[in-house]
Amino acid sequence: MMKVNKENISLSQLLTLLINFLLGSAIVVGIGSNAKNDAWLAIALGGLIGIGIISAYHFFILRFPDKNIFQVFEFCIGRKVTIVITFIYIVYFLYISARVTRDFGELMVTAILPNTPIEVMSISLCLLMGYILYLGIEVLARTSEIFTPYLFVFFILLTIFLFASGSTEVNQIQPILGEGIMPVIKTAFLDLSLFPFGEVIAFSVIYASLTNKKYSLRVSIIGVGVATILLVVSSFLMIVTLGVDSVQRSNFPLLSTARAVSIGEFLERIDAIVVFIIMLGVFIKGSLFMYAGLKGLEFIFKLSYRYFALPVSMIISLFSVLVSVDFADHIQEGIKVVPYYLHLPLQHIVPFILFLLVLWRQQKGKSEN
Amino acid sequence: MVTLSYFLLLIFLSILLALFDIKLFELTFFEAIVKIYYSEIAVGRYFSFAGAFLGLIWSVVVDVRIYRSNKKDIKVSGFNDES
Amino acid sequence: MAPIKPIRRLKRPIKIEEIVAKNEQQMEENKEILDTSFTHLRSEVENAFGNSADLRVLEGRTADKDVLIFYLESMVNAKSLNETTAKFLSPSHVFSDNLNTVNELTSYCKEIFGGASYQLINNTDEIFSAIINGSLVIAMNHLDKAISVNMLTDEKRSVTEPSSQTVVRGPKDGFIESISTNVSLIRRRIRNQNLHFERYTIGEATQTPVYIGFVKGIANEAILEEVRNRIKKIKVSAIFESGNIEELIADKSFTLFPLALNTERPDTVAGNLMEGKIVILIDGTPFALLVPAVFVNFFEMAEDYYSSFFLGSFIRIIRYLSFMIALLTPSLYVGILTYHHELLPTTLLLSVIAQREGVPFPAVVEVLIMEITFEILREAGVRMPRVIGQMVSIVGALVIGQAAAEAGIISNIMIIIVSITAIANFVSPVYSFAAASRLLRFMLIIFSASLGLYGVLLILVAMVAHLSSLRSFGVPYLAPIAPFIIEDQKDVFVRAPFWKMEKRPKYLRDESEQKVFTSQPSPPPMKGGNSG
Repeated sequence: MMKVNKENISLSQLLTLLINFLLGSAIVVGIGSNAKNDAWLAIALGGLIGIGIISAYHFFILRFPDKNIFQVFEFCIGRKVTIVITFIYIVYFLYISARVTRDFGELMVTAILPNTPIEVMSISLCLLMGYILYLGIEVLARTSEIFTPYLFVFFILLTIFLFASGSTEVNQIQPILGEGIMPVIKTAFLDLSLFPFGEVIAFSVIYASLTNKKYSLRVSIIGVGVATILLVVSSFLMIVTLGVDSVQRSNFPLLSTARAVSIGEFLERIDAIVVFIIMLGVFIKGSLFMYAGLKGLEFIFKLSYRYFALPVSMIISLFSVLVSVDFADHIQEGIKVVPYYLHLPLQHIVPFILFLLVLWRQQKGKSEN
Repeated sequence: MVTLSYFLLLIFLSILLALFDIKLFELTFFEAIVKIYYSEIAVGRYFSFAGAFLGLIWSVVVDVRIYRSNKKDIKVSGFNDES
Repeated sequence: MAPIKPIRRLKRPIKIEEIVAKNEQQMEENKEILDTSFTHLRSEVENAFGNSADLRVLEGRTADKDVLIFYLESMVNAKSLNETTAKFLSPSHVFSDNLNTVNELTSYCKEIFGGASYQLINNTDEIFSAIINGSLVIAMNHLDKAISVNMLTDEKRSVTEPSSQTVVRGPKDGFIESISTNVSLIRRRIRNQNLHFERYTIGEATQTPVYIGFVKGIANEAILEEVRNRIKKIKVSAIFESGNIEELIADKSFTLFPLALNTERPDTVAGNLMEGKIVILIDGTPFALLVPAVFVNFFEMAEDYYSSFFLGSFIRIIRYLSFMIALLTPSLYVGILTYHHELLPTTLLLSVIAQREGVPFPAVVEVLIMEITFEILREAGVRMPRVIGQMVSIVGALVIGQAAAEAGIISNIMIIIVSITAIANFVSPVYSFAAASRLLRFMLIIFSASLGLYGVLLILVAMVAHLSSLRSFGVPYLAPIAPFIIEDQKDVFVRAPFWKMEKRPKYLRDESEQKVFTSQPSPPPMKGGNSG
């Protein structure tokens, strides 16, 4: 019997993965726009909810330190039923991965490389994701660890440039809570708790390979917190630079924001910086969802997930194109259908039922003993 | 196995997309499937189909390799049992 | 998906002789007695060496016994040869009826060869290997043992300044082709009995001596054991240079990046030994291998530690910068000119466009032409005889560069880019590492021509991912950076002052991050396949 090398992820790697994951596609399409110019408040509130969500997942998953979510399922309801549920989750994870890829592809095609077909974008990105997961989750974690400092540097640079170029107008943030607090709460609970913060369910397969589980809760909370701060700052920047109406109308508000930078006719069009931030986030988010799906396949077929990496990445690239006819359709689905038919049940309801089952099983196990 | 999973994923993701299209556009199931895979003569679309085909080939290759290494394993262990 | 098994076999034209030799060897082993009847022995040795031109067979007589002496003229030191034969054959040492038994022979040898190393030989195979290794073999008619006396000639050049990795300030001696000299160069720097060298012989045909050196108590035992295992597993017929070994013991051979550090400098080796690394010395080459080597080691240079830490840190940062320049400049040029004009400030863009006005090629063709021309020039410059080599560079730089620009085939800015790339590439202290950026550059150019800066970013991420998937003897290749080890940052991008460097690098002994192997087969089966 060959000893399977266990893959290790350190706490700092978990931190960077969380930050990039949450920035991911959220920073591409902009979130919380239902709350108008209180979007940043909504995001801050959403971040608190996100901390709650990740703590809940963490609490639940770390009852079984070496098991990922599928194995926990197996513990509760037996292998046969688990395979069905796992397959549903796999389809869900891969679907989200395809959507994330599509987000990025649309961004690139509209803003950066208008003459390149979107299919090329998604194939190249998916090949990269497939290659990295073929090398293993450790490699993904280390890659994110290496690039994340640059993310922060670029974020700070962007902020400085925006204020230095004088294209910001802080007054646009007013009126704060002009329409009362209800829109903020509504946005936070109905939208942001599902996308992006609910999506941390993908991390339920990561925790099993963490080396130091003692501080993992703390690090998870810090990760969500930092990501929230970055999202709040970016939302704030968008609003003060573009104004509420433009933010709502713009497909890619952060990119439009970056285009407002102009310092002394020398520093103009720093889109590249923003695209870097976005690409890193998207790529890590897509890869993590894909990894979650691959782990599910590993669970079902009992084969190392690396075998599945490239075929599945190609499936993702195919479906990232097929997923919707055009961008409007894509966004429409993302707002109307996906949150309520996919996110809500699979992120919150199923894990909650599972949690109850686990408690019940463990109680039973204790009383029997 | 990898090929099996490949086809399963292909089918189930198509069904998922079809369900969404049914929900959004109120099509029948068959119409929805046709809508998903219908492509105009566009070069780009063929890129992604070629990519998917590449994935299929890759999965077959992986399967063959797993099959072979398993066979070798059995042989080796059989030999060990005898000795 | 079986791991690559590097086995090179010696092509032997005649198989029958091999079998015969084997049989004979087996018989010999069964007998454990050397047949010293002179005619037989002599013909056997002569046949084995194919009457080689440098094989000498002397007949002599001492103490009324017949003596046969074999040696390879090319391998033994003429002076000590004369002394030895004279001593051995001179009647004055011998009392008449001596040398009848092996014991008497031994004591006789002790008497006359006091210092020199001699050995008793039991069978013909040992005779052969003794002769090959530069020993004198003395056989006597009536005894079933022979004596070999080692008198290997030390044909070697003197210790000179190394041709690569030169320093302004610091020791100027470099390794040479003789392994014993190299060991003495290291030992003179670390005068400590804990510095151990283990001897291995690699190469079924070449029988090359290879030493593994380490400081006991500092080097990580697990890594050391792995090095030993991998060295023992090497099965090739010939080893000539440390590059051969490097390829055979690397964790992964399908990579552009070197997984072992090679150096000609004894002070670098000594410094790294004290950090806990392990050195592999190979006879016949001045290049020593240091393992495990991680990415940041290729940006370190002995002189960083000899000059002040401000300068050391500055130069080290310059090295990282020039690595990026060498890697990225041409592809950024292509990407920006083809897809992202808007990234350039208007004035700069105008001047670039104006220069490119007459150029008939798209940017990518221009870059590829110039890069390949440069690679040709460089190769020519290196391989030509020294004197002509300089002429090549002059012709290349001045004539081709300037003329091409004036003729309007390429733009001036292109020449600037090619030269800055080239110069930045020369900064890298380790030649084999510079090769990585040299080759990756072309891949980056092609991707940036097809996908713009996005393509560059794609390849960069893939490169970093590839780097972080590499391991050198179980140590992650990007070790102090990812996984991030805060204690080791003192010697990565900056060189902290000496009083700050109290502890040896942690990445070499951090057990949790290493997959320490114990039972696992070396080069780990990356793809989950079985190592058959």
